[in-house]
Amino acid sequence: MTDVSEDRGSRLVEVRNLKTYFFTRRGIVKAVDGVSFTIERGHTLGLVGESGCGKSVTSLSILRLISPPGRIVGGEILFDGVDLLKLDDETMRRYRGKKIAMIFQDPMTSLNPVYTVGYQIAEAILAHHDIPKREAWQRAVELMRAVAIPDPEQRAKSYPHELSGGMRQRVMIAMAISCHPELLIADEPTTALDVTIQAQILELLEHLRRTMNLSMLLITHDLGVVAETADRVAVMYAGKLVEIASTRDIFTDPQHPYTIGLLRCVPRMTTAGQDDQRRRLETITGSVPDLVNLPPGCPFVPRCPEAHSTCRQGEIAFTEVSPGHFVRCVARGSEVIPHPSELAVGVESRAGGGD
Amino acid sequence: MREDEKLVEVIELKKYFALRKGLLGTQRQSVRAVDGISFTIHRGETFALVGESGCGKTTTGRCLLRLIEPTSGSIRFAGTDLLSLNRAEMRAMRRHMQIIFQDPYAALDPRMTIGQIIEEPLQIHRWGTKAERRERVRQLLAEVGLDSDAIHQYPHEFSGGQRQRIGIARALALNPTFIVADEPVSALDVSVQAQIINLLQDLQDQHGLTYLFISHDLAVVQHLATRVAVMYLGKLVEVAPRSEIYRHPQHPYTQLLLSSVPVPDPDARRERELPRGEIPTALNPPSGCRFHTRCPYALPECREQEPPLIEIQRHHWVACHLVGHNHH
Repeated sequence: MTDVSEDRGSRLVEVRNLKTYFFTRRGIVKAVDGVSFTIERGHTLGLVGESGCGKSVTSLSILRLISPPGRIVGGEILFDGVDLLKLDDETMRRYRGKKIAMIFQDPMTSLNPVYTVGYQIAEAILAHHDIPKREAWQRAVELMRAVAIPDPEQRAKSYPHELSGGMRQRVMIAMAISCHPELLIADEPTTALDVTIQAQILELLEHLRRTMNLSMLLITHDLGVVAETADRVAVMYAGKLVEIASTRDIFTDPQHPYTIGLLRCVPRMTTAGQDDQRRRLETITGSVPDLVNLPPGCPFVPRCPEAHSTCRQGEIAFTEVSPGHFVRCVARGSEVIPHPSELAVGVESRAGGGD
Repeated sequence: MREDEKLVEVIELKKYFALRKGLLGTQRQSVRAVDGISFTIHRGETFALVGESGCGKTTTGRCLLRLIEPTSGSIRFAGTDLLSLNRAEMRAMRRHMQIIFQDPYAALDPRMTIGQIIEEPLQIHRWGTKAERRERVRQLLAEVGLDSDAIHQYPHEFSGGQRQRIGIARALALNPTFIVADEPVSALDVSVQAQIINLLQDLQDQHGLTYLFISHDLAVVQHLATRVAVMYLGKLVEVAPRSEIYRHPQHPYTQLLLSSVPVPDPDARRERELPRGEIPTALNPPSGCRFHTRCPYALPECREQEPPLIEIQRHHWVACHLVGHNHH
């Protein structure tokens, strides 16, 4: 874990126009529909949105872990300049774990209940390194120490069910960093944890990001968590990115009506000054749309207070409203690209009549 | 609403769950989920019970309605000692006290139509004629913001937020005075959560409802609560009016809890005192003050003596040896 922060800021990940569709009996679900973003080395990108918006599918697409009926139908995922979508399966397998690691919301589903946690971390190391087992075990113990698990020699011999939720998440993190990945994808890493334990895990992730110069893609629905950890924030709605900007800009100068609505409807805790009891919370009317056969244009139209007749007339382009602050909204001057080209992209023969 | 009129009075409530261990199930152990707590809920207020998983807040809520039987203690509801009632009397009492659950998916029978689900409590309590019940169901649906077409539909046809509205309509059917809301918005997306919070407030205003609001979300609680009780491992550590708890938290656990909440404001990123250690289990809670293993200020006596909940100033109760020292 040496400090290699000199290249902090150079581009590590560039996702361009990613499309991941699910071909279901009910129709095509455009779970990720033309998503583009970059992640700089040593930085954290927060990807936020409500359930079903496509944020988890985006992260699984980066790891190429999409299985039928889902398929990545278009776009590029450049990792250090290499398009992951063009790699053969064997090369991609080496990227997973070695260069890109992932942790999930519920560590219990990712840990094997019949092996000790030390054994499982050692296995992860052995998958990518040709070293003796004894040495892998020693490294596993060191990794457990690095993620602040007390008494790691003993805890390594524990089975997952013998550990608390917070400790299990630390084990997952130890496993994730075991091969010194460059990118850590954390999908709701603290959602299942109590708030005091969440604070500890977020602090640990931040510490690792700094000391290992990790880049992070942090997926969460919790605006408080992104505000405290992310450098930039991307807001996703119904398969599309609607806004991307620095964390400060997202929170102080949100532009997309969905981002604005989302920030307004969260009750805020304050330990000083006026609290706002009995103020009615602002709401976003209606609910998230069905992603099957979504009409073209902006998916937020039915719930949008600023909807315009042109919002549905084609794909909405990203507009840079201030340096580094992009929004996809006609009311903010985004261009409407008529006649969406989506039918031409990879959907070909198997999706008859998907208009 | 008369101020300070007691609706619910809980005294020394305990709920122990027996666990059998060992090969023949002969070793007995018990989880002290709720271990002697006392509090009062006033008519028309929202009394929030907060704490982390396993602290006993859900068990407390269920005990209040006798959905699970308390081990000991007393619960008075509108002057009646609930634990002295027999089954039939308790059932009759339940029309005044209802519960809303966290998971609107699990709480509704998937084989029943929405009409049947909401009508069921009316039938159980032999309320009105069939026509009157149908009319009441329509009225309830309108009240929670659902279309009357919903009557013939099934739970799976609704989103999470709509299902929570159905659960609320069912809870309201018999015009209760008291509702236990157990994490009612925790499973919902933020945009939907706000709608349900507003609905709960509107219903309270219209019907003068009293809520026991059980939640781990301190931002939601600050928005809704009149008073807040903080629970840790089966004990109350602090009880105070909402603004007191948030502005002048006294118990080290309350302080830790509040400083752990991530705030959606990048300018508010703060150097926080990181919580130490893990939450012990209620199977084998620490001696003395149960928080002493994680408390940054623990004194030797905290390990030995359990601090009583004392009123350090009007309406502000704290169970902490240190706070006691400062004020006496």
